[in-house]
Amino acid sequence: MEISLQEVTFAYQAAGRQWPVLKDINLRVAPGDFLAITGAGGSGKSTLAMLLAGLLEPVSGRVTLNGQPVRGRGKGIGKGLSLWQKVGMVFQQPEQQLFAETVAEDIAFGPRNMGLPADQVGVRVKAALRAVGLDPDGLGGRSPFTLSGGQQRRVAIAGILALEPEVLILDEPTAGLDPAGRAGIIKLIRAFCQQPARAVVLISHNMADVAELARQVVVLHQGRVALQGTPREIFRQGEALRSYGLLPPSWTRLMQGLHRQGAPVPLDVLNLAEARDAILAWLGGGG
Amino acid sequence: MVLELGQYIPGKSGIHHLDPRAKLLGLFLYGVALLAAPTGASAFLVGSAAVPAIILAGLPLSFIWRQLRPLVIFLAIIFIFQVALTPGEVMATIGPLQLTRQGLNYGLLALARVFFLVLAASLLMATTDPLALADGLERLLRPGQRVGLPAEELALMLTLALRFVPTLLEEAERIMRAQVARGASFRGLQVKNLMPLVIPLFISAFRRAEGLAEAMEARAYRGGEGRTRMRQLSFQAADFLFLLLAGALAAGTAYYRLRFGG
Repeated sequence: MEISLQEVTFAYQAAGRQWPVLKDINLRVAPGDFLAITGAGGSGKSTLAMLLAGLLEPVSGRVTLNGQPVRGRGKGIGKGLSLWQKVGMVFQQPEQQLFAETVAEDIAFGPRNMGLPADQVGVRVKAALRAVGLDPDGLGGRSPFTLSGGQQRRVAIAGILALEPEVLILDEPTAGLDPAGRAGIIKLIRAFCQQPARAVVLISHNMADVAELARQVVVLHQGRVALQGTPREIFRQGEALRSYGLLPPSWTRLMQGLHRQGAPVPLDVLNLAEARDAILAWLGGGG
Repeated sequence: MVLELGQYIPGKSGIHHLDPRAKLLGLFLYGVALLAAPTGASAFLVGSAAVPAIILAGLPLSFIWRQLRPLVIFLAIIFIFQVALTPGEVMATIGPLQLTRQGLNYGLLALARVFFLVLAASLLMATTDPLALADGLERLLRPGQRVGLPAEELALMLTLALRFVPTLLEEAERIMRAQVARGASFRGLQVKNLMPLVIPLFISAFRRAEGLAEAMEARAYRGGEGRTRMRQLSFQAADFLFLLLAGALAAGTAYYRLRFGG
């Protein structure tokens, strides 16, 4: 599944006025991609996510799925509808959309809406729970409201995974979780994108998440694409990031600080391990 | 927007600036006049008194229409039932139904009462800041406190309820999108279809209510006794004039009914 936005502009309409949110966005998500969309609050990240998921329609410009122009979810008929089923969207704080009496029932909601027979729904529910690292037999029959926050979020994500999407869009999936909860979510996202022909779009202002996961990064600033590139290319531009209201991850900032002091360390480390190796190499080489 | 009924449209017209108490009492008197009107024609005449107020308020016609549109079917049903099922002097016969002069009169009367009352109520809501409305209601209910009416609490409840309408609407939209992403459809009106929306909405409303209660306690809120207000209400000449007109309308209609109709 390939999602492509061409010259997409979006504005919210309220009280007879238009509030522009996104301007001239060109974006492509193809199988195997891991795209992070980042930007300061109000830069249009979440709106862009909803456009990519077909939950909003652009004011102007084109949205295509596998090259076919499509309308938004629920608007188009036939082909457009079934194509959107391959795009899964995990909203901010998805645990707030849980509603069913049991975990298994809640996860079954999506597959049932797709019209799958009961036995297949059951298979998908179990597979989705395992994919998010929860035990289908132990948790499936419990009420989702008795679970911890991190578990609830994983159940909500399982509800999307049960649709077996080819593209998974996640809006701030780790926000508000404790470190263990965050690690669990990162792990399941990584597992998802390691399957063949899958793509992930991660919306986040958490640069540590972006650095750890993404292969491409788009930085939004006031509704426009301000920077685009690999995480290394993006984090090298510390000053530009700051001017867009973002901070590189702490280890990148450490490298930048050391560099300013005259240390010959690379500026584009992506995680703590790379930073450690770079510092050890510098110290080893110097001493 | 799904729900436009009772929406506030900020403005600077004379109607907007009237004291909320005057507007509330005015609506009450207007309602009395509508109920006192004895015939369909007189009810329409009384009801049309709201038209100058709407023009003064500068509300667009399209807005008025959107407010009244949901009523159309309801009004049509009332009208048809009254016309067809009231016994009396037969004017015309359509199949098994007999149209009577009395039926037509009652039909028009019921139509005018509901139509104009809703029109005036939406005029009040459209031209009055919800918070001012709650303030006005509290001041009007205050005399009732002596007999145990919790005026402050009622006004607080009303204010909070109004405050959370847009928040809950936004929340509902968000949850609907999330469930649509899972293939839900909210087209049908079956209760079962609404569960994925209603249950998360309730949970979040309870959570918000708890948070609000804690925040109010943290700011040492302890009920209305002896509270002062940032916004002081005061009656101006225009408010007295407005009430005078509304009172004259109610009194005039009541007199007309006692004298000529009944």
